[in-house]
Amino acid sequence: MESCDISLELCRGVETFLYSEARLLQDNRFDDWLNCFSDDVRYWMPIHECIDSSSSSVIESDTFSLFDDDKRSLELRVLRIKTGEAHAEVPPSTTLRLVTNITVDRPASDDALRVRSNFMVYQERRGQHGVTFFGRREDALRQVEGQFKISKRRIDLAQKVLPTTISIFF
Amino acid sequence: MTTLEQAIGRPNRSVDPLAFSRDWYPQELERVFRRSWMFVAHESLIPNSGDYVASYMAEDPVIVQRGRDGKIRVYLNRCRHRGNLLCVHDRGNTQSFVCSYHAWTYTDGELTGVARSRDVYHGELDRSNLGLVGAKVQVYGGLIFACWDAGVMSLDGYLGDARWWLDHFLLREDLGGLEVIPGQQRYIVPVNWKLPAENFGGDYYHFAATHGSVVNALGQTDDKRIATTGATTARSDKPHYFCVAANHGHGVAHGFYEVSAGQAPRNQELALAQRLGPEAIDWFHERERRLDEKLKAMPQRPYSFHVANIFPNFALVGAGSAFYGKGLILHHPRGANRTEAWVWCAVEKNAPPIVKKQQRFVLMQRQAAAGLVAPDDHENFERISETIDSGLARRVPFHYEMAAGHDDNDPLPEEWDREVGWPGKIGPRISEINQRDFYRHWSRLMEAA
Repeated sequence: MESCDISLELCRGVETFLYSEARLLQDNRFDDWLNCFSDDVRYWMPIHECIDSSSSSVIESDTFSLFDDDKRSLELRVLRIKTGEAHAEVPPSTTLRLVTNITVDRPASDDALRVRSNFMVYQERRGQHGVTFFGRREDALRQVEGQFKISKRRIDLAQKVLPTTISIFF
Repeated sequence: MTTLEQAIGRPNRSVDPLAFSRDWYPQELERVFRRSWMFVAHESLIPNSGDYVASYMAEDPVIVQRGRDGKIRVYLNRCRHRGNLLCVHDRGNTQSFVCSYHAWTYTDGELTGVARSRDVYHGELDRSNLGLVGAKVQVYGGLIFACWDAGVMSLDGYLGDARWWLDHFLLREDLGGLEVIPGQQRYIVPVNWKLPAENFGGDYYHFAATHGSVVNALGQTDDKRIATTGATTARSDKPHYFCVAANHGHGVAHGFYEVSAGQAPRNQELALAQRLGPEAIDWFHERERRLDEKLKAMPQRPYSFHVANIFPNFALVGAGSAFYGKGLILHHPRGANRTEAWVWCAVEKNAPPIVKKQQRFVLMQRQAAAGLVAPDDHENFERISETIDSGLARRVPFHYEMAAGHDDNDPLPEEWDREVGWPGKIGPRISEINQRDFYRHWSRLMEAA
């Protein structure tokens, strides 16, 4: 079970934060979305391989990933979309985001909250090619001057074969 | 305005969209994919006896395994009894594969175990003819290729002129070679496999129009970590060569493009190395020294090629920069209008950790599933493909005439040999020579019964 020092009020605040963040992405407000992250964020989407071996000694963080971004590279992604020349986002995709199964706890060794959630993102391009991404996330959330900031986000897609290449955020 | 009749009546140097249709797809699987050498995996993924990777040759699942004798074998991943899939992991290590249906067991491709064989088969089962269906296998510089056609030419002959480019700018065995890092991206592109293949094999023309967003975004930031030489030398610095048609006019069509030469890319790379620190600088200087030594006989030392396609569906990206991870990309056909891309990231084995980290980062951020480059290509391919297999678009040929008629005389071969002296047919201008070669070779295979 989750540790019990988290108040319902705090949980509710975290949920509201995640819902607002999802809404920023749905509304294509990417600069505001970047403000949800601390300057030292690691935004990471690893890849899952199905390995049949007891001797696997892979250092997870050195593997080829889908995203392994810091704040600056996230900003570059947003800059690219804002050029208006990123064809994969012209016209912008329509996305609809469900964020569920939110749990909040505070690992003993950490001053950040650990927030886990599941998500479903439906993406549609030009009225065609509707695709859906499913996954879960684990965020580290800090409170800075009364605002939540995500300082780590790990995204694990449930799908091993992506339904399309990715020009959206999770 | 052109009437439909006029559009259809232009057969010269065009490709009929039927080439991308479901009408021809089954024949393509038989005639193109079953007769061609196909990349299946990199040797560094299976260093030890028993190591294996599950891969595909077109739509056929295969197991690539290093056997007890150290030899690499490639088998159809299907039990000989009822055709059940034998290997269900991406990779691993095992002495034998045991079928989950009736427990037939295979070791190094031979049928070595049949449950209750004496009893139920009356001791009459001839196991010797029931080994896994094997492909012919050859390895080139760590790249494992397989072919179903036992009569296929040698891999050396198949690669032809491409070998020189692979040797010097991708495989770099004298620099320690490549190692594939764990993790493989997989994604669907709802398009025919030939669209990405011909793009990787020679479409320099698309870069400015398709990828302007990346160039412009990089221009607006001081974060230049993913600004590689390939993308930046094209505009200002000479010399820059656009395409290399390996085996032009004969043999198997492989295409390379964006070849830079001279000091400019080297200086840009050095600036990248300086940002990474002394280890990266030392490594880069040593790498350049060895390449200079190796290529000193050339009238002009090529810096590198950037992108390539080895016929039919093995694409390469990232060879153009010392700090760009080498993408080994398979475009598996999954029907006439569906492709499953697999992307491995290879790094230079002898590079210091900080360089490997950078190589991995650049590939992820550029020509990869969530990169800043690949999605815009795929968006175009999807737009092409939405009506490619139906409607009028199916009857209007695609245009491949750029610089056609100049393939053999631009520039004159003798002058050009003196200027560069590199293998393959080098184009000093953007042209569609590589695409023409690609479809010419594809047609030859499709026409041969």
